[in-house]
Amino acid sequence: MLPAFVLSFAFADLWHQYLPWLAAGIIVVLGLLIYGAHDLFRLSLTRIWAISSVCFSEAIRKRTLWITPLAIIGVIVVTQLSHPDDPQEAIRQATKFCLFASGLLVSVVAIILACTNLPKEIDNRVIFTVVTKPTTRLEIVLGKCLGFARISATIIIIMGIFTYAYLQTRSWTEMSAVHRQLASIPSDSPTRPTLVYYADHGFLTTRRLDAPENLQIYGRLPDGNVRWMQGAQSEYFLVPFTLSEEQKDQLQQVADTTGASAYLMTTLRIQQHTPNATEQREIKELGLGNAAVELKAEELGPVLPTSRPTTQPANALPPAVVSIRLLNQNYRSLNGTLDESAGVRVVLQQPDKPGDSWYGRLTIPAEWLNRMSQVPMFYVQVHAISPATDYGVEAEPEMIFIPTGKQSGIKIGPAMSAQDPGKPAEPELLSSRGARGMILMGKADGKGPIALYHFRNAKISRPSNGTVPLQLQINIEKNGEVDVEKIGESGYAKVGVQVINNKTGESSGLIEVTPELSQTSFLNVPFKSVEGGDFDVVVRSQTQDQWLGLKDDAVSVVVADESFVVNLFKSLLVLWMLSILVVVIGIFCSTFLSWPIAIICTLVILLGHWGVDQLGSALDPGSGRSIATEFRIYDPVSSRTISQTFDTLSHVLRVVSNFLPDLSKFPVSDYIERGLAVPLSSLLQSLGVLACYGLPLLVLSYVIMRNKEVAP
Amino acid sequence: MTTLKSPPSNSTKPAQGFSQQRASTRTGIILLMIISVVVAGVLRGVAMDYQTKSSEFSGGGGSRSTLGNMDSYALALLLGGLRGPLVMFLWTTSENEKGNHDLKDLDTKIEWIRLLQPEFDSVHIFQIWNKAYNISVLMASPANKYITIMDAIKYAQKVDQEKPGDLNILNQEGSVYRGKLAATNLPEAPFYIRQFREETLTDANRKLAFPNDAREFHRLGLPAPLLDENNDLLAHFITPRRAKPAGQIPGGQWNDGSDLQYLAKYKHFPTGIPPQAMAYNYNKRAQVAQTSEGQEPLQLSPMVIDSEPAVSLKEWADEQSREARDYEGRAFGLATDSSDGNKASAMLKPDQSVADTRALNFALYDYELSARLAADAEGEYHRHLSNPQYANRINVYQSHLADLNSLSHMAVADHDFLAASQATGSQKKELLTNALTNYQKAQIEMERTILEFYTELQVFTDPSFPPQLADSIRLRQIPDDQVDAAFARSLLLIDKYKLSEYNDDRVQYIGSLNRCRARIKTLQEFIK
Repeated sequence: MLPAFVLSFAFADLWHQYLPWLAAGIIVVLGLLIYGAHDLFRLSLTRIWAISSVCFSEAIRKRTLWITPLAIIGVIVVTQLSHPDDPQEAIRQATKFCLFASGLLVSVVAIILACTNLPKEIDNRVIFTVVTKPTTRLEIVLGKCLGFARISATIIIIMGIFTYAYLQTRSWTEMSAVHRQLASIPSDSPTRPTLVYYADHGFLTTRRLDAPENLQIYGRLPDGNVRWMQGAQSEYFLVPFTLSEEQKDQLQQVADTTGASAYLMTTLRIQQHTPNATEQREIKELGLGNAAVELKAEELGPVLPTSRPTTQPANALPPAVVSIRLLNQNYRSLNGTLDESAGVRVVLQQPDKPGDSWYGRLTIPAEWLNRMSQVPMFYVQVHAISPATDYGVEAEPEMIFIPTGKQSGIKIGPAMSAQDPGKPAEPELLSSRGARGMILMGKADGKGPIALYHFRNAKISRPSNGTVPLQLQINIEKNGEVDVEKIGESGYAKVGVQVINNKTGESSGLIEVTPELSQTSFLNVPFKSVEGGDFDVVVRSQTQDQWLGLKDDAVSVVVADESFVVNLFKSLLVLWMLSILVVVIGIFCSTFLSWPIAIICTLVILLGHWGVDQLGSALDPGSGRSIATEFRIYDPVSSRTISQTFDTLSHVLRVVSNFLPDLSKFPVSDYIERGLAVPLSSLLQSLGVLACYGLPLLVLSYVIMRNKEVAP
Repeated sequence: MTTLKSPPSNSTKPAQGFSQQRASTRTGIILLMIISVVVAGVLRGVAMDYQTKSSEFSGGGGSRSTLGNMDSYALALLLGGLRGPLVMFLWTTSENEKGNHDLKDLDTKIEWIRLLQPEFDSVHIFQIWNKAYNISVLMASPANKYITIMDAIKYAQKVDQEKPGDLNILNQEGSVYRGKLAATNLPEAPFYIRQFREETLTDANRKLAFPNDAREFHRLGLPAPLLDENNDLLAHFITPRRAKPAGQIPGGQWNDGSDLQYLAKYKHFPTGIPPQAMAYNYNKRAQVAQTSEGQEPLQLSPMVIDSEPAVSLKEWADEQSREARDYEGRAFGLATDSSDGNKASAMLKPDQSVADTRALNFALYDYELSARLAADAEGEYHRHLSNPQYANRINVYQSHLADLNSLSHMAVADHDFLAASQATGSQKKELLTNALTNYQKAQIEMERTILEFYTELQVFTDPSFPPQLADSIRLRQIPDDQVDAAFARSLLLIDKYKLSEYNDDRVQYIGSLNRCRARIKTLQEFIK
C-alpha cells in the first residue's frame, strides 16, 4: 500500500515535469518525421532565407523600427522620474527599465507582426505569390519565423546598444556622486565600505559569487566536537532518521503491543550561568521558575542538590529543558494530534558524574510510533528552551531505544551521512524561521547566538590589493532597543562579521557593519582569511533584542568580476529567445484564427501560466469551501456545489497551466539588475522552454498550413 | 454599324481618385485630432485661469502640476487614458512591497503616484504619513529613519511647490515635524532634534554650537543650511511672494507665500532651528490659510487646525528651555544630560566661575527665546479660545496656559540668574533679585498647577485638608500666599493614601520644582 502511495507521488511529479516534453516529442515525431517527412527532405535553407527576407523587408517598410526611439525616450523619461535610494540602486532601476522597455517593445512587435502577417497575406492574396512557387508549407512557416526573429534581433540590438550607452552615462554620473559622498562622510561611517567597493569596482560590473555550503546557528563558536546552542534564543537542532523495514516493524510492534514502550533518548552537554534580570523574567514567563534549582557558589560546579528547594532564590538556575517534535521530510510536524507549535517538553537529568552529558527520556506515544513507521524518513527537532543555559550538541544527540529486557534493548541511531556513508549524519543546528529568513537574536554585548556560513572549495584567486569583497544581504526581522545615550548616525543596527580560515586559522577579526532593510552591503576582508576556499563567516547581532533575518545566501563571497557587456549580451539573448517563442505562438495562432483573435489567443497562451501562478493559494484544494463561506451560502447542497465547482475549475486551471510556457524561465533582468552573472544554466533553461514549446508549435503550424486552402 | 464603347482610357484613374479620397480623409482626421487637442488645451487654460482668479488667496490655481518638466495634461495624453490602471497598479504593488519590507522600488513608486495624481490632497496626505510613520519605522538605524522622515517632508514640499499654500499639505508637513522629529516620547527624538538643528546651521556655526558632534556629523536630510553665517534665516525663505490682499482680512493675518514666514520674527537662531519651530511655522500657515483664505481641511476638524499653532509653539518654548539647560551645564563644566533633572546645575552658585562663555551665551539666548515663545504661545491660545466656537475648549487648555505661565517665569529667572554671573555691582544684585522673584512665582505657579490639575480628589475630601482651601482650588482661585502650604499638605496626604493616579504627571513637574527651590534657597542666602 505504502510503496504504491509513494510511487504514485513520484510518478505524479515526473508526469508534471516531463509531460510537456513528452507531448512535444510526440508532436514533432508525428508531425514532422512521419506526416511531413517529404517536406522535411525537400527543405531548402535558401528558400527559407528568401521568405524570411521578404518578411524582414516588409516589416522595415512598415517602419516597425520607428518605435524604438519612442521606447528609448520612454526609458529616459521614466528613469529621470525614479527615486533610487543610492547610486547602485539608480543603476539597478535604470537597467530594469531599459530591459523592460526592450522586452515590451520586442514582444508587442513580435505579436503584432506574427499574428497579422499570415491572415493579411491570405486576405489580400499576397500568399498566392509564395505558394505558387516551389516552396513547401514547412519552408513558409520556418521562413516567416526566421524573418520575424530577425526583426526582433534588430530591435534588441538597437535597444542593447542604447542600454549600454545609457547605463554607461548613468554610471559616470553616479560614480561622481559616490566620490563626492566619500569625500563628505566621516572615515568611520558605516556606509563607507560599500561606497568604497563601488568606487573600486564600478557599477557596471558583473559579480561572480560563491555561495556558502550551509548555514547553521550556534550559541557560540564550536568547542572541539561540541557545538553549542543558547537556550531561549529560538535555537534548535535537527537529527534525520531513516528507518529500515525491520526497524519500522519493531516500532510498529511496540505500538501494537499493550504495555510495550519505546523511548527517544536525548544526550546533551549542559552549561549554565547565573540568570540576569532578563533571563529571570524569561524563566518566569516560561513557567520554569517552580522547577528551578539553587545556584551554588561555583556556577557550573560539580555538586548540585538533587532535591529541589521549596523556595526559589531570584538567581536560581532553571532546569535544562528541551522541547521535542517530529518533522517529516518537508519539515512539517509529524506529531499528529499533539500541539504542533509547542512540542513535548523534556527535562534533562543531571549526570551522576560531573562533566558527563545530561540526558532526557521521552516515551514515544503510540501515535508517533505509527507515523514513524509509515514515512520514508523523519527528523527529530529539539528546541533549547531554558534561559541562562547552553546546550552542547555532540555527534549523536538523539537515539530511539526499544527495551527488550532489564539491561538490554534495541538502539536505533540517526540516518547515515550523505557525504560520508560510514558515519551518522551530523545534527543541523538552526533557529526558527521568520518572515525574512532564520532568526538570529541579538545581545548588546555581542554574546548572543551566531550564524555560521560555511564555505567550502570557494575558488578565490589572489587579489592585487590583498582583500576580497563579501556581499551581505542581511535582513532586519525586528528592530532592537535604542540606547539613547549612544544613539547617533551609526545607530543601533550593529552586526559583527568575522571570517575564519578553517585551514590556517587566520581570522579577519571582528568587523562591524550596519545592515539596513532591502540594502546590499559590501565588506572587504583580508585574503588570508579566505585563502584555500575553506572558511567560515561568522555573523552576530550586536544590538539588544535586534533580530536578524538570515537566508542561506545572505553572505556570499565575490570571487570574480566579469564583463558587463557579456552579461548584457546574455540577458538580451534570453530576451531574443523569448521573442522567438512569441513569434512561434503568434504564427501558430494565426494559421487558424483571424488576426485579432490570434493576438488575444497568443497573449492567453503566453500569460496563462503566469496568471495561474499569480492566483497562488487561491487555487489550493479546499478554497471552494472558503468561497462558499465568504458568499454566506449556508445551504449544504448549494455550498457543496459551489465548493466542488470551484475546486474542479481550480484543478482544470492548474492542469492547463502546466501545458503553457512558463515565462519566469526567461530571466531577462533578474540577474543583471542585481549585478550578477547570468549563469549558463539559465540560458539553457530558456532554450529548453523555447524548444519544448516552440518546436511542436512550429510543427503544428506547418501541419495546419499544409491542410489549409490558401490558394486556388 | 456597331460601335463598341471605348474601354476606359486609363484604368488607374479610379484607383488614383480613391487613393486621393483616402488621403484627404486621413488628413481631415489628423487635422480634427490636432484641433481637438488644441481646443482641449485652450479650454483647460481658461478653466485654470478661472480657478486662479476665484481662489486668489490660496494661489493654488496659479500653479501647474508637472511631471518632471512635463505638464500633467501632456502626460494624460501620452498615457492614452491608462493613467487610472497605472495608478491602481502602483498603489497595489507599493503597498505589497511595504508589507513585504521590500523597499527597493517603493520610493520610486510613491513618487510616480504623486506625479500621476497631483490633484488629490488625500493621496498626498496619505503618502506623507506613510513615509514618515509606516516606512521610517521599518528602518533599523536612526540615521535612516531620519532620512525617511525628511523624505516625507521633501515630498510635502514638492507638493507645496505645485499647490502653494494648500492647507492640508501645510498641516501635514507640520504634523510630521511635530509628530516624528519633535516627538519627545520617541527614543530617537534627541538624535532627530539635534541632527535637524545642526543641519540648519552653516558648518562653521555648527561647530561652535555643537563642538562635540563636529567629528560625527553628516548631513542627512537638509541638503543645505536654512541659516546664513550670521545665523539669520536665509532671505529666500522669508521673502514674501504674494502681495497683501486688499480689504479687511479675516483674522487679521495673511500668508505672504514665503516658506518660513512665521519664523521671520524670531529671525536669529544661533543654536539652529529645532523641528518644533518648523512645526509651528507650518501649523500656523495652515491655520491662517483656514482663517483668512477660507480653505477647508480634508481630514481634520477646523478646530484642530486652529489650535495647533498654540500647541506647537508651547512645545517649541519647552524645547528651547530644555536646550538652555544643556548649555547651562556645559557653560559651568557640568553634565549636559537633561535626563537627571539638571540636579547639578540647580546647585550652581551665582558667583560660580564660567568654564565656557560661548555655551553660557547660547544658554542665555535660549532662555530668553523660551520666555518670549511662552508669551507668544499664550497669545496663540487666547486667539484660539477667543473664537466663540472654541471657547469651551478652555477646560482643555487651562493646564497648558498654567504651564506656559510657570515656564515663562522659570525661563526669565534662569536667564537672569545666568546673566548675573557675568554682571557686577548693582546690576548683578538687580538681576539676582529679579531671578529670585521669578523663581518664587514659577514655584507658586507649578504648585498651583499640580494642585488644580494633577491632585487626586481624595486629598481635598480628607478632613485634615481645609475645606475653604479645597473650594478655592476647585474654583481655581487659590491666593498665592496659600499655595505653598496647601501643596505641602496635599503631598502628605498623597503619601498617606499612596495615591498614584496623577503620579506620572506630577513627576514631570518635580525636577523643575526642585530646581526652583534649590535656586531660591541659594539666592536667598546669597542676597542676605
